[in-house]
Amino acid sequence: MSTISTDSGHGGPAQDERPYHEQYHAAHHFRNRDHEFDAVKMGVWLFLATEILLFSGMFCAYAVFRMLHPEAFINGSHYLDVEYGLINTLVLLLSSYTVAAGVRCAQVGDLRGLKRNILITLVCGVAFLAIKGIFEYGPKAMQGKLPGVFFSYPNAHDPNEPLWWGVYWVATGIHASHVIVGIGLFIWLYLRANKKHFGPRHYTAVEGVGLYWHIVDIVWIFLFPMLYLIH
Amino acid sequence: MSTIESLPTGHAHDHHDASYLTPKGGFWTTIIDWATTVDHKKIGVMYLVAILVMFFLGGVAALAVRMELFAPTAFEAGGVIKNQVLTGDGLAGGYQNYNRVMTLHGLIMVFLVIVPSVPASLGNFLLPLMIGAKDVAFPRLNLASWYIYLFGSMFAILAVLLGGVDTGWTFYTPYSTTTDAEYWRVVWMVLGAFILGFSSIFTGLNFVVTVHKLRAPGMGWFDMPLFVWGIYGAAVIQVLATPVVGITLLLMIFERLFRVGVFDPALGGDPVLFQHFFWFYSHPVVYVMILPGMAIMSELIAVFSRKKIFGYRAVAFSSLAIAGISFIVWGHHLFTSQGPVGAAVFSALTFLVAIPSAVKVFNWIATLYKGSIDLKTPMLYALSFLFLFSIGGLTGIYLGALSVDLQLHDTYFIVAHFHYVMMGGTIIAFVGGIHMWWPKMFGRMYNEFWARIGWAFVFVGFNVTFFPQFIMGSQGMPRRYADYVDEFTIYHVISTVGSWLLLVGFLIHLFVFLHSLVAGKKAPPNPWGALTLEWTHTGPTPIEHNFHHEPVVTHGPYDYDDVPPPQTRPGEFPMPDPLPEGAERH
Amino acid sequence: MSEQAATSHAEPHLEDHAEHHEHVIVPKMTLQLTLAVLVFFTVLTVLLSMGEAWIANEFDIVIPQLVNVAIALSIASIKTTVVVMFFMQLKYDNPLNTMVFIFTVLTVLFFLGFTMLDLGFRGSINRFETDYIKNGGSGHQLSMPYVEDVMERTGIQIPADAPTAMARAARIADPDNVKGKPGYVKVKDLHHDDHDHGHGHEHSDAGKSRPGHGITITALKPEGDHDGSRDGDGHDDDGEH
Repeated sequence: MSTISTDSGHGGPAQDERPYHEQYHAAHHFRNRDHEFDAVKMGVWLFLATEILLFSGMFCAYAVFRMLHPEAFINGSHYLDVEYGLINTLVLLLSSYTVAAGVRCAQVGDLRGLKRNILITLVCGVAFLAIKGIFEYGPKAMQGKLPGVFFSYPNAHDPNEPLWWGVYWVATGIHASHVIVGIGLFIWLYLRANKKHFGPRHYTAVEGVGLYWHIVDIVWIFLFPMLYLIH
Repeated sequence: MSTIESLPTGHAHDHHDASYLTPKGGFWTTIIDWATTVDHKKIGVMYLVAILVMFFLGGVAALAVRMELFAPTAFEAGGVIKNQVLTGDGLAGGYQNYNRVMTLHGLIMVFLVIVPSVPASLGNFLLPLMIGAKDVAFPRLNLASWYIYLFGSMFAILAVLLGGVDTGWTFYTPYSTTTDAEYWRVVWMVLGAFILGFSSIFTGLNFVVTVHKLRAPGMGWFDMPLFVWGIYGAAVIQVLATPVVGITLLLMIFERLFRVGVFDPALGGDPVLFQHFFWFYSHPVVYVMILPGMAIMSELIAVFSRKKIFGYRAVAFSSLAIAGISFIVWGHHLFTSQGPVGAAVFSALTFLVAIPSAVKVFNWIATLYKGSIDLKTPMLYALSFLFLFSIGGLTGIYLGALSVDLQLHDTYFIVAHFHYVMMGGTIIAFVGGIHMWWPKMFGRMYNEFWARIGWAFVFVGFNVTFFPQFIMGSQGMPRRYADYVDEFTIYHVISTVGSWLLLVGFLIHLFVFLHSLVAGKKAPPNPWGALTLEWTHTGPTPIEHNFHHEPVVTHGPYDYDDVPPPQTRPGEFPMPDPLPEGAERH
Repeated sequence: MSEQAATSHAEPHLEDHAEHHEHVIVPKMTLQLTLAVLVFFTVLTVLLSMGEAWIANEFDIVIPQLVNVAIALSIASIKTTVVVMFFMQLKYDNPLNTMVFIFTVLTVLFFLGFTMLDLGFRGSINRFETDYIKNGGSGHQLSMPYVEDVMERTGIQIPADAPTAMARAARIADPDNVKGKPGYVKVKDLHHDDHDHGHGHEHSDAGKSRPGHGITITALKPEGDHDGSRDGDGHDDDGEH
C-alpha cells in the first residue's frame, strides 16, 4: 500500500507561479488544507447519507408493495429486459472504476490520466442514459407500460401492475436524474482538470464527485436485482 | 488568575477588529454586504429576523383561528375569518377558509418557524463561537441554506396568495392529492416544504461537520457546552430524517401531477404508506424542534443558578439518545390507521423517549438545587420551560399508551399536548435564549423590568390558552373543527382570551427588543458572568472572525466554582469561599 | 472514533506547515481487482436468477421467493460493501466516515423494517378485519387519459374497473389500434375469455422469461386474498396456482 505524505516546506513567495493546486490555500477557518479536506469529505459523506435516505423511500415503497401485491411485482419484473439491465450495470461498474482510478491519478499528479478517466466516466454515464432511454423507457412508454392513470398496456394480468410501473418509473427516474447531475459534475471536473486545478495536494472536488458517483452506482446495484432479477 | 491562553494565528492580515455589526460603508454597501455575507453571525441574525416575522404571521393565523372559535355561532359560520381575512362563498366557503387559516398556522409554525428557529438563528450565531471556531465548516453552504429558506418560503407564500391550502400541515393523502386542484396550490405548498427541507439539511450537515472538525484546541467532546450537544443531536436528525420527507413530498407531487398511484387506493397504492413516510420524517423532526430548546435550557439553568450543571454526561448523552430513539417511534402518530401489530410495537417503543427526556429534566432540577438563582428574564423562561414541558411530556405518555390514544386521537387533547411541548418547550426556550444572548448579538441590554412583565403575560396567557384544551379534548372536542356543540363554549372562550394575553405578552417583548436596539444600555462583554467562549473570548459583540486568537480551552463550560468569569468587573460575580482541605464540592 | 485527534492540533497553524496527514493512494491493482469482483458478482446474480427460472421450468421445482430475494439482496449487499470499502476508500479513511455510513444504513433498516412490520401484518391479529382490507386497484373515480380518449373518439362507455381492465377494454374498443400506432397490439389477442385462465396470459410480454408454473408464494400474500375477491370484477388469476 503506497502512501503519499503531503508535507511541504514552501514559504509562499510573493509572485507565486506554482500551479493552482500547489498554491491553493485552505479557507481561513480551517487550520490547513488537510483539515479542510477532512471536513469536506465528512460533509460529502453526510450528503451521501441524505442521498441514501432519499432513495430508501423508493426502496421502502418497493418492499411494501411487493409484499402487498406480489403477483403484480412478479409480472412486472418479467416485463423488463435483463440484458439491458445487465449491460447498464456493467457500464456503471466500469464508470465507478474509472472514477476511483481518476482519484488515484489526481493523487499521483497524473493529470492526463485523470482527464482520460473523467472522459470515460462521462461516456459511461451518457451510455447508461442512452441504453435506458432507447431500449427501455422508449419502448415501454410506447407500449403503454406507464405508471398510474397513464397505464394503457392491454395485456396486464394483475390489476396492480400500474403500481409496479409507478415504482419502476419513479425509482429509475430519480436515479437517472442523479446520473444526469453526475454527468454535469464530471463536465465541471473535466474543465477544471483542463486548467490544471488538481494535483496531489488538492483534489477535494475529484474525491467528492467521485463519492457521489459511487453512491449513484450503489443505488443501481440494488435497483438492478430488485427490479429485474427477483421474479 | 488567568486560565485562558491564546495562541497566535497565522492570519494577522485577516483581522477586522470592528464588531461584526459595524457597517462596511454606505447604505447599499451594507445591504449588499449582508446579502452576500458568509459570516455565520450575520446569517444567524438574518434568520432570527425572518423567523420572528414568520412567527408573527403564524401567530396572526392562530389568533384568527381562535377568533373563529370564540363565537362561531355569533356570526355566519366561519364568518369572522371570512369577512375579515379572506373572501369565500356561503357556509361551506366560510368553513373552507377556517381550514385554510388553520393549515396556514400549522405550516408556518412548523416549517418556517419552529424547525429552523433555534438551530438556524441562535445555533448559527452561537455554535462556532461556543466551540472556538471562526465560522461553520461550510460558510457558503450556510448562506445557500438561508437563500433556500427564503426561496421555499416564497413558494409557501405563493400558495397562500393563490388561496391557501386546507390539507392541514400533514398533507395526508388521498385528501391532499385529490381535492382543491385549482391553481396547483397544494403543489406549490408542498414544493415549498420540499425546498425548505434542503435548507434544513444543509444547516444540519454544516453543524455536524463543524462540531466534529472545528473545535478549538483543548476542547474535547465533554468540554463542549451542552448547547452544542443539543444542537448536534438535532443536526444529526436533520441530516438523516429530512431526506425522507423529501422523497415523500416528491412522490406526493408526482402523485398529484401524474397520478402515479403510490398513495392512491384506486390504483392499488396505500394512503397509510404516506403516513409512514411522512411521520418517519415528522416524528424525528419533533425532536429537531425540542432538542435545541433543551440545548438552550442547559445553558440558561447553569448560568443563572451559577452552578455546575448536574450530570453533564447524562444530559449530553440523553441528547443523543433522544436523537436515536426518535427514529423508531414514528408509528404513534398513526395508531388509528395502522395495523394492530405495528401499533403495539410502536406504543411500547414510544415510552422509551420518556427516559432521556426525564433525565434532562431531573438534571436541570438538580442543578437548581442550592444554586444561587438569579430570576432574570431568561431564567424565568427556563423555569417556565420546566413547568410547561413537564406537563407536555407527561401528557405525551398518555398519548403513547395505545388504548388511551385511541380515545384521545384527533381531539384537542393532542392539540394541547403538542402546544405544551412545541410552544411551551421550544418557543419558550427560544424566547429565553434570545433574551440571554441579546446583549451578545446586538451589544445592548434589554429592559429587564418590561421583559419580566412580558414574560408574565406570556406564561399566564399560554396556560390560559392551552390548559382548557386538555379538558375539552378529554371530553371529546375534535381538533380542526370550525364549530362545536354548546358544551364546549366556555373552554373555547377561555382559550381565546388566553390567546389575547399571549398576544399582549409577545407585543411587549417586541417593544422591549425594539427599544433596546434604539435606546438600550450598552452591554458589557459578559453581563451574566458565563464561562462559555462566546462570553469570555469576545468583546461586547464578536468581531468579524470571532476571535483575535484561536482560543485554547482550559476549563469546563460550567466551572463556576473554580473559575472567576472573565471580562467581568471584579466582585461582580463573587466566588464561593474556598473549601477546607480535602473537601469536595457537589 | 478519532474525535480526540482534533484536540491534538494544539500547535499553532501557520498555514500549510502543520500538514501531516497521509492520504492513502489505493494501488491500481486493488481497484482492478475490485472491479473484477463486482463484475463477477453481477454475472453471478444474473445467472442465479436465470437458473432459478430454468429449474422451475425444467424440474417443476419452485424455489421459495424469499430465498431468491435473500440471495439477490445479499449479493447486492456484498457488492455495495466492496464498492464502499475500496472505491469509496472507507477501508483507508477516517473511521468517522464509516460511522456516518453505518448509521445511515441502520436508519434505512429501521425505516424499512418498521414500515413493513406494520403494513405486512395489519390484518393478522383481528382476522375479522381482513375482509375489509382490500389491496386496491378498483379504479374507482379514476380518470385515465387513454381510456377517456378512446371513449371520446368512439362513444363507447368503458365502465370503471381495475385500471388494467380499463386499459384492456379501451384498447379493444380503439379503432386506431390496428393502424400500427405506437402500442399496436393485435386485437384478436385481446379477445380472450377472462375465465379461461390457462391461456389468458400467453400474449403478455411478461410471459417470455416466465416459468410455466405457479411461482406465487401464498405465504407472502396478504391474508384474505385466498377468497379470490381482490380484483374489482371478482375473478382471480387462479390459473397460476
